Amino acid sequence: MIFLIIIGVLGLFIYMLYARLIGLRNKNLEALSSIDVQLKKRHDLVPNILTIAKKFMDHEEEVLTKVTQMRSISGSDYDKKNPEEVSQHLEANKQLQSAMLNLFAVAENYPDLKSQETMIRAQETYEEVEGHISAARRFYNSSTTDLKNAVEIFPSSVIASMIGIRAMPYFEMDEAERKPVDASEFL
Amino acid sequence: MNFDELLEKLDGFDHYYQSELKSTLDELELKRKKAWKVFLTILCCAVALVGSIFFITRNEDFTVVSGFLSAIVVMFFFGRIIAIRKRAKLSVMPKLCSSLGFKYHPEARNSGLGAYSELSLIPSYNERKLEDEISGQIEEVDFNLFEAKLIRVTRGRKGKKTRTTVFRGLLCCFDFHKEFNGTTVVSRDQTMIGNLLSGFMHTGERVKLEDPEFEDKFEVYSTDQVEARYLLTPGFMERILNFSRSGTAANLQFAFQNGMMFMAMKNSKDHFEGDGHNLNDPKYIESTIKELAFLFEIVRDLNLTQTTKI
Repeated sequence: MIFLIIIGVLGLFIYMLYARLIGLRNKNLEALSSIDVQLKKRHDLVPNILTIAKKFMDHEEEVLTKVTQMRSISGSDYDKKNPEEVSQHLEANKQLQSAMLNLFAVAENYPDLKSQETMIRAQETYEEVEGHISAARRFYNSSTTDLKNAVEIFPSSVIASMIGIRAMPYFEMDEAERKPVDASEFL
Repeated sequence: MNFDELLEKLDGFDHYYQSELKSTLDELELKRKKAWKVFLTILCCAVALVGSIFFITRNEDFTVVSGFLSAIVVMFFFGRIIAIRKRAKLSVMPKLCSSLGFKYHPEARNSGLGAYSELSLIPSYNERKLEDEISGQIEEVDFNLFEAKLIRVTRGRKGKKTRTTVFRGLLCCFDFHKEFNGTTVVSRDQTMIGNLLSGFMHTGERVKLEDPEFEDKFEVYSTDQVEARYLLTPGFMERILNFSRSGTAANLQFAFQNGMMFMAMKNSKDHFEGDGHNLNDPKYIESTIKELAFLFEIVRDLNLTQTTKI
């Protein structure tokens, strides 16, 4: 009888660890999805900015091509449960953000572009989207920490390895990108 | 004293003070001093009368009745002093507020507590007293502020009523220039058990933020995890922490709903009453101006006019 009680308690304990891990992974996936929703907004906005910029920045083909390339790479499909693929996806989006920051920096040399009403509005929208991406990134990183702790700390680490749950990568900003984007600085 | 210098936006108040208000306040101060003297005389007489009755009659019931009647008379004369201070306030506040482009309503008839209750920024109450409603715009940020005193009435075993003040302080809401659809509530941290209990009162999920000092002081609940972080950026959290170090905002709780930021600042002070200075003392008006300057501080310190969304 005692043996059965011990088995029962142990089973319940293992189930609780399992349920917590699944809950944390789902939360992490939810956070990753919320990032993708915001990244998609940026993805859709980039062509508009490029169209306006191309009218004035004929001699900056390299900058514009880089943005186009990074947009194409960052929009690729990936497996949300695979940390390597998630890492590549997030890295590609970081590269797109860098390319966009570079575009805005170069646009500073074009006063006509700076005064374009459509460009100013596009920049404001971009800034709004960046705010949402930043918020989604913080939510994702918070849930990633919780999942990482559960996956790496005993005894849940044992269950995690048994059911194949792995820690996900953080979505970190590069040092240069930590500074908020202020549209008025560039345009 | 040059009042216009105390607050940049306070245009033309000096002229009004010199031409009209000063003489009114001088007159009211004279009346107040006279009323004080009468009150003190009545108070001494009342104490002497009740004491005499007790020593002469040695009858407790008779003493209690005479004490009760004396207290009513004393309260009547004290009420006259309060009425004079109220008249002074009604001379000062509307003009001060209109000089700043604000509207002032002494009884806060246009303000409601519904949103504050719904967001759990104030405790449940049975009686309320709202006053000093100020509304207007600061640098294109619409706001509404008023003072609230909330009382909870409970009944003991023998049916005896107990009235407890559960909230006293300022309630205000400001336009928040970000687009959001959900509800985010930031309440004071009340230790583990307190947070667990108060967590049931809030809608939405607990939001865990990165700033350890902010986490230490506040508990955040939101219907949208991403939106909560969009509203509570690291910069905004830092500004809130700095702002909540000031005396008036020491017990700050706030929430975001329907494009507005709602704030509840619990404190024991009776606001806009001139800090007990003589009515014709320039410090009486100075202290009121400083309290009004607090509104500008909120907008400036929290950077509510900021257009950047990051």
